Amino acid sequence: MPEKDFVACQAAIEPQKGPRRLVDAAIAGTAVAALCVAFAVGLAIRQLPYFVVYLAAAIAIALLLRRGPMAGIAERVGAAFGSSRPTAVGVLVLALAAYPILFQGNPYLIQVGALSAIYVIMASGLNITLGYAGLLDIGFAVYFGAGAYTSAQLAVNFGVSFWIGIVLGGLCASIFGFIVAWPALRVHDHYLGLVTLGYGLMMNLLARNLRFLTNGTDGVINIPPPSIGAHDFTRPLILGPLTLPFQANFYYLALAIALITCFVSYRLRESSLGRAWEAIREDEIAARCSGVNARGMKILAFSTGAFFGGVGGSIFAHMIGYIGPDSFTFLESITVLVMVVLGGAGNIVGAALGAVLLVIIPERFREFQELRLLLFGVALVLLMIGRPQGILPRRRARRLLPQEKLAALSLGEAGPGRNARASSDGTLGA
Amino acid sequence: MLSENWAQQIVNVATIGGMYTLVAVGFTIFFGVLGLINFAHGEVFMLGAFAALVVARTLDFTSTAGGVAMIAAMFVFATLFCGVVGAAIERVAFKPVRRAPMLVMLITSLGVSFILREAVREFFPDGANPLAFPSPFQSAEIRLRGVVISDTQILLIAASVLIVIGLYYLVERTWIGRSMRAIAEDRDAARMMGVDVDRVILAAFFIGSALGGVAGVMNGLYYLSIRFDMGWVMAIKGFTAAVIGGLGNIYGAAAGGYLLALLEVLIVALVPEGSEYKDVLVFLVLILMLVFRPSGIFRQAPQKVG
Repeated sequence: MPEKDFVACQAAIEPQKGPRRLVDAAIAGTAVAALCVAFAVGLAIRQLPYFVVYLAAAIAIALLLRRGPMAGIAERVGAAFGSSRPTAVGVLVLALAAYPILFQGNPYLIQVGALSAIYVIMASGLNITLGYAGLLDIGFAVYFGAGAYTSAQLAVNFGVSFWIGIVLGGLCASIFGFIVAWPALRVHDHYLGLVTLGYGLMMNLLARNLRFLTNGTDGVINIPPPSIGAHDFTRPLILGPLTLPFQANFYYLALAIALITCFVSYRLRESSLGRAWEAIREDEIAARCSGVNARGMKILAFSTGAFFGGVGGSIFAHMIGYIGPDSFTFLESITVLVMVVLGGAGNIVGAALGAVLLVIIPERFREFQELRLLLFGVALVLLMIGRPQGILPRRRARRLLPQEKLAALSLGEAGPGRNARASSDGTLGA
Repeated sequence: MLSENWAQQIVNVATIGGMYTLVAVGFTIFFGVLGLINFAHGEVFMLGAFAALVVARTLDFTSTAGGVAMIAAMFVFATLFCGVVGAAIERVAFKPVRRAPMLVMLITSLGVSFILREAVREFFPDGANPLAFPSPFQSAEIRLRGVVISDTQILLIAASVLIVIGLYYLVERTWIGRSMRAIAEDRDAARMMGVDVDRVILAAFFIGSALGGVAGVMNGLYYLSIRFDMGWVMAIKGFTAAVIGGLGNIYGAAAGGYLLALLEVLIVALVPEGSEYKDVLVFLVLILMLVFRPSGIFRQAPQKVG
């Protein structure tokens, strides 16, 4: 509905003709394709010094597109995206599907791609909790762990198929989300973050100590890989004339689920649920006054986000073949959190981009294994100072009614700054 | 359980609780003046221990008098070093995001925490391994009806009590304490009343971090081994102590530190396999406090800084 409103109101502002639509579609498609090629080039660069140069160039171009003389181009492309999203998404999906074929000589990169897709699933999950409903969750790794352990133990001990296990893993994770949502209803902001942080640490410790459930610190080993019919996921994937390394199985599996996740997450945002979550995020009291069931909505936000976390964990466990307490530490929670914040909380593409960047860039700096966390810390501080709203902040003007949209256009875009100010006084309690 | 054992446990509680308290006070001060949960505080605590180790390795102590001078030098250097580091962190990392949403500050402090921890691991000689912390004491023991108190413990208990008393004077009787309380109450109003907010926040970070550094030295002296990742556990415990006392409440933090230590010692003593579940309990206390008693155990904060 709102999407149609938006298109309608945009049409009212600047009447579109057929050719313009085609041009828009062409621009959006080309832009996505160009971005994908640039990304692939980045992946193909093997020497680290060149990669650093590449990274610097990418950041410089991004900055130029924002403020520099190229800002006009960026605006035009942005407008094109707005009107021809299906084309952009189509090109992107094609490019993603072609990825293992392009890098078939390099199974490691396909594995990294699969890992990225798993993190996209999890970041989308947290994006629902944090980005939509504004509920800070620093214990997201719990759901990852819950999903992973559930499907792993079911598969190892009872021979349950992965396809059932992944659903049960997601459901089990959402129970864990439900458990923390209940006390979390009573607290806000900092306190909510700390409750979930404590929850994450506690669950990790329990996973270490409750040996009968989790095998303690040894973890669950020899988790069988998924299979479709007779096709085992540890065997090379044969697509007609192509023979792709076995990692491609996991890549396509994770990619498919990631795309479904993004789609569900998009539909949720546009649904009445999404609007209720947004209302709670912006002003809980006003939302309650308008008849939003804040309690239920918050519980739902936690459980839904957790479900995707569990699904991600389940795929991860079956891909790696092992799950232990060290796979879902505090660092894991922080990583997913940073993915969402780095990409732009509330923005699906942003969260996905954040996830991909945060998997791939550290992988590229593997030679600096020792310094990785140090660089991560430096990057975090610099990013938070320089661009606290994330790479792609959520757009807010989109959901205004047509006449308000017109007013907003004359006043300039209502950016995320409003939100930043709204919660800047975040002093609480005591 | 013998009653002597209990007396012994109380001595241990006083020792560990003192450390928790000093760390908790830092958390509470930062929260008071900036509304910030400073995850980097645990790393400042760790830096305190490493600063003292540097002092111990540089200087030489053999005689008893040398031992006393050594301890004094350790504490003074670690205090100043951590204070300066804390103030620098505030200026470089927190000041630019002071007005940003709290999630931004939270992540910034996590970033700082990664930087400090990894820098020590990477650049301190043999920093990735546990390092022996030299004890200037001859480990003399005082036996009192079966209760053993080492000279280290006496020092630690005395020091933490003295520091808490000193803090009371600082907060209640000095301009800096008054300004800190004013900022905690209402930053903008304080600014309008002529409080130099930037300077006071800087001072608050100096003080809080210096106390963390002191706790770090104490930790080294008590356990005689330090590690680059010792800060994280202490951060959680100090933070829990601060929450028990009510975030922003300095005296609450002091009480919370000792209470948390008591709780830990009790569970280890009473519950079978208690030491394994000790930290689970700490997190549980943290969650329960945050959910049911977010203003701390005191019904009304008697003298609050936040």
